[in-house]
Amino acid sequence: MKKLITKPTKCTPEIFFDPEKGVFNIFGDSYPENAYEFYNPVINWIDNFVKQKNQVDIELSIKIQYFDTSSSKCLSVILEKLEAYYKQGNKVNVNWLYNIDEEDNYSLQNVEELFIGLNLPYRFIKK
Amino acid sequence: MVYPFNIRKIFTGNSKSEVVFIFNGVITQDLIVSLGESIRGELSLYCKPRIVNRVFAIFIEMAQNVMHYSDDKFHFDKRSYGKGQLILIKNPDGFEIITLNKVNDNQKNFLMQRNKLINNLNQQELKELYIKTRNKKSLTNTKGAGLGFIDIARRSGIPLNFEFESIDDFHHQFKLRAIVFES
Repeated sequence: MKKLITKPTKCTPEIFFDPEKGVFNIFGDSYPENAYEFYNPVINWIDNFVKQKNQVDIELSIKIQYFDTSSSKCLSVILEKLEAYYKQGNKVNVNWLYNIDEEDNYSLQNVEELFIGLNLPYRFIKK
Repeated sequence: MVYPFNIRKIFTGNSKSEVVFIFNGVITQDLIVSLGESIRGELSLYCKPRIVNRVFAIFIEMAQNVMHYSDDKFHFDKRSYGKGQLILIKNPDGFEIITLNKVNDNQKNFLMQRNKLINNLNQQELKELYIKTRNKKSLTNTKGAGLGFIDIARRSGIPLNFEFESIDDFHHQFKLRAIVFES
């Protein structure tokens, strides 16, 4: 399985998923013109990854200063897919990286809401 | 800022308010990105990051609504973009983000129901509605405006101000105004 690499733009994040090392990064702002068009290949990639049953530990690092409501739907779907992988007995850790500038209640609350109802380990890391 | 004519008064009706920008025309993704960048750049010179983030986020959701849903469309390159106006005003106590665009009768009815519902909820209820709406929403229809309005209301912290003005029997000018207080 190939790595998934997408270069960032001003309104879409960099995606770097390495299936062998289990390093998954999503870095950058997310407010694409069409969030589904942008995230669909990412979601399909994860579906394929989960099907391989290769039991790699996953460390997902996310650093997104701003994501719009459509991206929030897509991110929650990505997390659900990883939850399914976690429930199969694999190790998954999610690190949400943020700047001190973003220590605005709403932004972090918004992030926490992505994990509501999910059984997936995550932590906030202040940079 | 000095304008060649009294644009400030036309748009704000208040001499203590300043127009940061007014855009009138086709709302493309590139335009939203550049105005968003300019909000972050300029506002961070004199506002707390918390305020900059809120104004930025509300602006993006509102501008995207015009791009996706304005009933007045501009077609090019197999895509279509909504036309409308995007306005940012600096008041002595904060900011106002205003969008204007054409809507049809069906859109007006949807918007009225949606906004009335949102304006009757407190922050906790808005949060619950946001999560419920997100979970229900299908992935393919990620453009759905339902979530956007809830997000705007949550970030603004005060009810949304919306108005409709009749253009003809089937169309209306939709004006949405969100306020961010600095304190």
